[in-house]
Amino acid sequence: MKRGTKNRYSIALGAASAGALLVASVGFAQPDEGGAWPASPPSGERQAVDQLKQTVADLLVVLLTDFPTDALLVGLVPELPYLHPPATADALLERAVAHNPDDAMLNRLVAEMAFGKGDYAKAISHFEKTSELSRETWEIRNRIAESQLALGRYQQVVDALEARIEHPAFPGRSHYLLGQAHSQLANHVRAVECFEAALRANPRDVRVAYALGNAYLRLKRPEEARPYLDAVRERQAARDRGALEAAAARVQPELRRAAVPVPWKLGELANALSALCAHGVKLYRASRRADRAEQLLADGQAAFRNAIELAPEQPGAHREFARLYLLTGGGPSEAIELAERAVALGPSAQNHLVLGHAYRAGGEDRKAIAALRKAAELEPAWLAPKNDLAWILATHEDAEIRQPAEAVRLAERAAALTGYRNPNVLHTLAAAYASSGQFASAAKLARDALALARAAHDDALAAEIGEQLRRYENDEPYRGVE
Amino acid sequence: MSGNDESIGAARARVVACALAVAALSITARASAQSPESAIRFADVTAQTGIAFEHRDGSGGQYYIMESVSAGLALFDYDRDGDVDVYLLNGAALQGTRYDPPPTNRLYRNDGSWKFTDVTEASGTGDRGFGLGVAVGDYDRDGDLDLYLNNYGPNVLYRNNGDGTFTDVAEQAGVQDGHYVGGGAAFLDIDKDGDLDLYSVRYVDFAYAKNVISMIGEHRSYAPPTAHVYPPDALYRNDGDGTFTDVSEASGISARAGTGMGVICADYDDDGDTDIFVANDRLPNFLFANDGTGRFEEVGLLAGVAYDFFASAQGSMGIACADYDNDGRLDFYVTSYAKESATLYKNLGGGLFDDVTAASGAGAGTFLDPTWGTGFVDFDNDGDRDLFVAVGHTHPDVEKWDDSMSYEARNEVLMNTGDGKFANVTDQCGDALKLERSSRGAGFDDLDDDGDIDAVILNSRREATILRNDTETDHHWIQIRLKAVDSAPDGVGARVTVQAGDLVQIDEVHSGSSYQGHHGLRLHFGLGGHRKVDRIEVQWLGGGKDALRDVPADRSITITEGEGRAAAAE
Repeated sequence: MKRGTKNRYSIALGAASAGALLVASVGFAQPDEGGAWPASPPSGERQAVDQLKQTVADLLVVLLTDFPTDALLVGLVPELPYLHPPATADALLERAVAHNPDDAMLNRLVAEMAFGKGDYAKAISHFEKTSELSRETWEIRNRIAESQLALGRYQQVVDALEARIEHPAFPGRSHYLLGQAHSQLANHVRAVECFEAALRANPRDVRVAYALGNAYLRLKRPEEARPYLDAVRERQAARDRGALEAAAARVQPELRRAAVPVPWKLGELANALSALCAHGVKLYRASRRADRAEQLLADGQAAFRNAIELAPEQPGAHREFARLYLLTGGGPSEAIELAERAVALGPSAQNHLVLGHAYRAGGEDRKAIAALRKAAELEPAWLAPKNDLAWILATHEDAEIRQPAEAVRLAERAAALTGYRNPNVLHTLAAAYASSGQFASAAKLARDALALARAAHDDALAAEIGEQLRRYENDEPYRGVE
Repeated sequence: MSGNDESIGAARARVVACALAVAALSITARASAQSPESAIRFADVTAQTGIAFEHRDGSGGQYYIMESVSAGLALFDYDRDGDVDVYLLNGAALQGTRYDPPPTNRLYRNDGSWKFTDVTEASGTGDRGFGLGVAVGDYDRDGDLDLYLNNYGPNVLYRNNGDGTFTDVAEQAGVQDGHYVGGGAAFLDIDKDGDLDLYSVRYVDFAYAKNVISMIGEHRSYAPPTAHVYPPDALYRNDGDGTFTDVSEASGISARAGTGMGVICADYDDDGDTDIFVANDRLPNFLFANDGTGRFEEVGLLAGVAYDFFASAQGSMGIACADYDNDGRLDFYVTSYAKESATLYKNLGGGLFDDVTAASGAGAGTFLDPTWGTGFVDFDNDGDRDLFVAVGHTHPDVEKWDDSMSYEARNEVLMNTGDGKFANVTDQCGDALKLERSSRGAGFDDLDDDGDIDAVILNSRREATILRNDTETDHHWIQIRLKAVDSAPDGVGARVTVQAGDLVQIDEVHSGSSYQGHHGLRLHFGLGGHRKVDRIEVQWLGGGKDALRDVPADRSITITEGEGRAAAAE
């Protein structure tokens, strides 16, 4: 890789947040007529998923322990409930918030975890902290009110919400919670007013209808209660019927064969592992703990080898193993071999993109361009292959490879897709303009990109753009690779 | 830039949304770290009792739903010798499992001094069906207590022959009740004709070929009852000749289908007839209001007991019924599934209830794991009723996917603080309450006749637990048995009011309570510092009223219908 290319081809660690998708599903299954359970997914894939999940979970814990204030790792803390069982996740979350007491998101998560466990006093404390740290929202106020209701602190709910009720944005949910508090304090007339306001905001909210009906009953106005309670009963009956029909449907033989999918997707877990592992290696190297970096890398590679052995037909593990090589400066030949295998197993845009990066790392730029073109063709709305392809076509030192006009076209499309607000894309477009001799436009876009990069506190990108800007101001294009 | 276009921020927002979606809205309060001082103490005396019962749930990896919900127990005086005997239900082998020897229900005769003798074989009560619920009542009015077993499969009516033996007459009596997975059961006099009718709860309609399971991640587990077909319950009218007629439809009971578990029959609206509360699992609870003639209208929604505070249908399990705040009205306490607290419905009068769980603290310590058997019991005889809650998860492997819960957990004791509130005092109750089991049924009575109430707990897959009440106080008490003449036997459905100074308490005789079980035909009242009871009044279900005056405390008495008419008229 030559200067400038590293930033262009660093694979965003946002990929690690794929863990958010990995919510364990709950479904029903039935044996078939012979008494056998639905066909399970291939056992190798299941094992690979289990092991990758465990590796990702363990890795996140290790990294959070060693780098408790690292912004990206802290950003991944919300994944903990999906990677670890609740008590473990809770303990890790506690540790994360202890190291980052002023992180609004962490406080919110701790509050939600506490609420889910019925520890409402703790939930209130962390919701209030969240409120202090972030722009206070009605949602947070309502969560505090719900927690106070759960603790029987009805007057506090009344005091807090009545003080704001004239606010034009006072939401229906707040009316409902305020009504509940009044109801518990036997202020049934006021409760009715609140519930009616809540119902105007959310006419189909069955909880509000139930509360309003009950409030009328307490006022000894059963005729006014009845329509609301009838509505509750009606909706409940519809739900019951639906449940019965669903239960009956489950005995139909054709439905029995609906297999239960693997709840965690291998490709997403592999993606999370490559991103986390690469980030960890970077952190250890930056902190001069090379032995830990190498150990982490070796562990990550071992996990990928194991996953590939268990599920050799799954392209995700091959692709992400290749990505790990690329992210950690590993051998391009291994990355190419793995990425080629991934494409052979599944010719997706994502696999072609990584293959393009691997070829690029290995200096096979014509192949890289072909792979990136394929990725862009398969996913026309995907920014990444367009931007990466435009960069190569704009900046390649070999005039036979360089295609400034196509680079401008691709980069303009990418910039349009992002509303000209993405500094990376504007950086590429500036390079494309410069490559085609439009230096004034290039300099203008580079300035825009620089401002956006600085606003995003991306110092490395800002430095790189600043360097290119000076070239464009001197009517000099950037030539990155040969 | 490449790889994944989604920003961390966006992902975080999405995760928070997920977290919000899974955060259950439920009312509870956790066990207070600063509970008031409590005198309530228990000792685990299981080992010395000779009760060597072992529960079997029939499980063999197929996750049949009935495995997770077995079973209840009954405390009753089967031989009329004055002390309370113990009957424990058992599961049975299900398709794919085999036990040798097969598990059976067990009857233990109380010989006094905490010694019990297993009289199962001698009494003929060792049913081998898959036991779920049990009710006790003298349905044939012959002076001894009979047993009704609500099974998976045909139910059993054990007629007490009066000589220490029982005979299953369910088929002849017409109460085998099909082939459902049963729930609780209760004897009640629906039409005030003086004989006991029978309510039989049906949990779900199950067949092996229709079995469904849940997949929690990659873990197989029990499907909720709503994934099965659930039928209406059954009500049988006693024809007075040893047989019953199914009046489910004519009475209005079959108008609603639910996933019933616990049931308790009580006059919640003080109109002089017996109503029926059914705890439904994941569906709204039923409150069948009796019009006085044995016809019922389901009014749970109107009364405010169908749903909890936030209009959620809880996974309701067991029920206790008593006047916890001594305001003269019967309240309900309903146990529930995991991550939702047990719920206290306070009777406001006029047929209305409020969920006062949060304000009362009655949910303290009941939130995390499922809760089952329960009772309003004045353990410290201070004149108000405390709560006992049996705890344990349905899923033996729950820790594999949720390490905040466990299959076996400790049971909970909540002390009534006398001001309409409860405090969780389990930590103070002694080592016996540290025991962790997956409890289901729980029954409460004075097993050693020492004036305080003991507890028996049935634990899934394990031995039972017998808890002796070792609470030391100088409080007084009185226990009252009712002997009916014209009304339903043993005063089932009768209301008793006990007045000692300014302490006025009520209670009612119920057959069937807690989690699919039975206890408490002998009513118990703690009297605090009162050495005598100024007045005892019995309102019999048939309409008659008896009263006694100036009864010394600390004794068990029997009131026969008609003996106190003169005093009642004063």
